Amino acid sequence: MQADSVGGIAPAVLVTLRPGEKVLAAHGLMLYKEQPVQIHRRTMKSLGVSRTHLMGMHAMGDSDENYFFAEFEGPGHVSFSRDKGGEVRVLPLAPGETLRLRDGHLICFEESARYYPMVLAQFPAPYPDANGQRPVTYLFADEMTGPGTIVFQSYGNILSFQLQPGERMRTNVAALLAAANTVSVRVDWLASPSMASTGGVPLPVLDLTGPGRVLVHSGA
Amino acid sequence: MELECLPGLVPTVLVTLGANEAVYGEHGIMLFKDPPVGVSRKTVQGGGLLQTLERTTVGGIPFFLTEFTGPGHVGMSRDGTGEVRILELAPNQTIDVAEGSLLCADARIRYGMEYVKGTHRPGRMSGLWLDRLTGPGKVAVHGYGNILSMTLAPREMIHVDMGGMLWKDGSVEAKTVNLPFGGGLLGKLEAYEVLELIGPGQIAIQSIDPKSHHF
Repeated sequence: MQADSVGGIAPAVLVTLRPGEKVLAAHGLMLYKEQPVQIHRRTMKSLGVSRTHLMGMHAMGDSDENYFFAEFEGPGHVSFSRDKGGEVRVLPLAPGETLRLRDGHLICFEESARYYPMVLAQFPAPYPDANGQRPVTYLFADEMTGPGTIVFQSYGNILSFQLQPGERMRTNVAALLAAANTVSVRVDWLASPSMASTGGVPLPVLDLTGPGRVLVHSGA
Repeated sequence: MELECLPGLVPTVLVTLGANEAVYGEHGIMLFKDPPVGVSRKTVQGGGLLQTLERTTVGGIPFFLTEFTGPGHVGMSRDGTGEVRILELAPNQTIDVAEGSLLCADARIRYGMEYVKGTHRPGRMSGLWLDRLTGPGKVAVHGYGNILSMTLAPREMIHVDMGGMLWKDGSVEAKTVNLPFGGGLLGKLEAYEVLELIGPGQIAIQSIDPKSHHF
């Protein structure tokens, strides 16, 4: 599978498929396709994701995960667009290499790559609501494991970091685009929630600890 | 008459009109104009009352157009991130522009509408309307996102997302089709509704669907 980013403001992805090659994408992302390219439905079950797991994730909150993918089979060209401004990255994953990509950013991936939706982190609201509850916010991710090429889009520009073992960095919760599975992700607070009553404004941030690759985007 | 694209994230077209030269565009997309430039209404002809109501309320075709008469400058913008292309139409050359994408056209260009029937599926069941423009003259078109253009050979076919088409030559045939998405009821319900474009002629595709929330 050959994937190329086309355009600058709101880039599209042009995928070239040889006969029998397949690429999977979320339903509705296709911009155009040539007539010989066949389209099929690909269920999550066939990708090894159980319905219970998916329903559980949807029950947690605003998960952007799909119940099925669109599968495009070559030969021919197919193009995808997320209808947003930003950068498109085409990333070949080595066998066993895993990248956790925030939900809503995956454009398409080669059939050989393994897809598994997951919860990257979670944190409770700093203040109790009217019922005295502190609703939990979940950060969802698409865990992609090689071998295979994956294509994703950021909102704004992508900043790449390679963390050394034990090296730490902090990001805004929405700014984290992707992290390797070797990177530990933990929610931290810039001020303790317990200080809220005294005027402190707690801000959740992500505390990332290497080793591994981290991608941050500027238009989160 | 001169049309000039002022590039940027949200591009503008700058129109320079000589005395008595005129250009028309949709009402409400004017960004600025010189005081000497006159403004008048250009009526859109086509069909009866019901057809007019259908294309203006269900579709995105304007009820009337605004005509600007020189001398002076007019700036027009579609308030969207993207690219502007200026096309020069030869006499009797026809292009069909997606609704909501025409910035302005030389007053010599004949304006009409082209309707592509929908597939009667929920969502896009009503089909879509296109601005049909026939030369001679210059046209400015706003594409949301990036514009990808290609030329289709005779009988060559391509499937395009409904919001992806920006313009096509009049010789390119367009129809909506459902691409079944697997078998069974779910496959039919979730079928891709796409625009089937059949050559010969040039087509242009925009990478953002104008109806999506892209800001």
